[in-house]
Amino acid sequence: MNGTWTFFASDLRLRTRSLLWWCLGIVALVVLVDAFYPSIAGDPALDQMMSELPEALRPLIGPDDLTSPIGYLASQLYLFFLPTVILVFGIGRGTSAIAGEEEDHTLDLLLSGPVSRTSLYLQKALGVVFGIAVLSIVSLLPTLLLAGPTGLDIPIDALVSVTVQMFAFLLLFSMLAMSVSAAVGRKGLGIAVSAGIAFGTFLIDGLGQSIEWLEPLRDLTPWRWYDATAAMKEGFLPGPLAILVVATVIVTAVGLLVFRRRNLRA
Amino acid sequence: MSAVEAALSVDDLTVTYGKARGISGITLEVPTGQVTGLLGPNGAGKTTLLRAALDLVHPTSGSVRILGVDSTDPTARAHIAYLPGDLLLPGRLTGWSVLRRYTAARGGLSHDRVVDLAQRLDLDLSRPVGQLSKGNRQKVGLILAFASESRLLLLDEPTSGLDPLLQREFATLVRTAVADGAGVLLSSHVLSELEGLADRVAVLRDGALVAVESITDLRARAAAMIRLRFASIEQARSFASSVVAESVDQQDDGVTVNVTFTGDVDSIIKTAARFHVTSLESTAGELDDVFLGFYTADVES
Repeated sequence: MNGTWTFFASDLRLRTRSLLWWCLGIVALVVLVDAFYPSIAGDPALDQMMSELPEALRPLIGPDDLTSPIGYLASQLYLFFLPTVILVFGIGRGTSAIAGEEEDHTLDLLLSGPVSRTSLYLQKALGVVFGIAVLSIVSLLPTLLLAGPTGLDIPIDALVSVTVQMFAFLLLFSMLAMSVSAAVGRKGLGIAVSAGIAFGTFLIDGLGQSIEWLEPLRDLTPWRWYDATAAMKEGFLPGPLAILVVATVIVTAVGLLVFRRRNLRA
Repeated sequence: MSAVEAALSVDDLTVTYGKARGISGITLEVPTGQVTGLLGPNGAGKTTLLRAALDLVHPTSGSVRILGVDSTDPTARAHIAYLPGDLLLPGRLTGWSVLRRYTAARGGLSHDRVVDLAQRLDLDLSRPVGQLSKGNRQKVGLILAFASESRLLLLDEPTSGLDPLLQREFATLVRTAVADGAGVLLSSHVLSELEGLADRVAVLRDGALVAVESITDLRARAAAMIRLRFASIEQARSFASSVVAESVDQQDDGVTVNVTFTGDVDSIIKTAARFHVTSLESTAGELDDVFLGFYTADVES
């Protein structure tokens, strides 16, 4: 069959410009966060404030040492802010992959050629993976390059491992968005399900660290396995990484199975 | 079955989906080198049938084959060119990019052929399709369909939005494709659009096939009217009582009889010949009346 990866290539061309804008935005955002570090580094007032917060809320904000480079980056960037912003991209890209084409009435034409739905779905999924990979890589560059002036001098492997961890985490929710929306042919449901679960599990994971009855549920939340702080402090986390990857593969496969079987809307 | 594989062969196809629409028990062949018209009002199942051939909707029962290959096999679509009824394209893309994107899976199009078609249709392919008029966007669709030199063309209401000049160009494209051995399935909700193009017409109603006939046979079904004037009232009366036709109506003046009939006029003429006929006029039947007949009255066959 001709041109096995044609849709991936075609989508890439179609979306290059938007991806470049996203890259710029992510760089600007990380630079901004990094640039604030010198003004709070070594200021004990912040750690003091943190210790005065109710115990239940503390884990939602970050590790105890907010003023150390790792504590700062974890709490201000990696724990919530950066993944949430990239997730907006990932959920958008994931839901427009198949359901977006269907809602735009362009899916019929894409599938009118000698290509299987499986191939289209996998090429679209690869496009999502590619976009998130690019943004994840781009997001670690400013911190790396500005380590001197900002004083955020953390080991490069700490940055790499938290980025890898974040990438896998983002992929899970983006593929969930793609899978659900492709399975039903509606972007809206994919956005609602993935954004809803992302936010809900964030609360469960955060509050579960201090609320006893929520604690067992933490293992079900992707945030638990993302674990930015541990990734920065301890390096690669093969176990949690494997959990995220396996969950992503399952979610992606289920979406594909339903998409293959259902009737597409004209 | 004929020795030559049909371009499209639909066998007892039923597609049920959603709550309302679908098609049931359709058996139809689209031979190569012919145009088969697919006629029906909106919602009769025309688009569903075309989309089943592309496996966009799956058969609930029955099967669809394209040149002998089952429609569920993606390679079957290598032979199909499809023009959707409601053609929407990413507005930012130029005509060229649209053609590239939607034909990449089949290995692209012949550049010369695209240029030739664009010239014939008077279309600028370097402009973003979002800036084109509806008619010009439809031309992009026509190039998509006709530049691929496919063996089976599925054209869903292709002439909507085209001006008469382009409709003629479209007819030429269809005839050329057919002469090159393609089978064409052309849907429309107006019979007159198929007249002169379609060799046969398949008529759909509520998802079922109610007739597959040549245009000539359809025309024969059209009720024609003949008006005869006789030398006397008595003559007119006895003609009216002896002629066999669908309706016989002796007018108020007594000497004029209107006869409505389908099929051969022969028996009416032979009956009339026994009398003194002073004048005779006849009116041909309207094809669209036949079409409407399929939907208004319950057609008994």
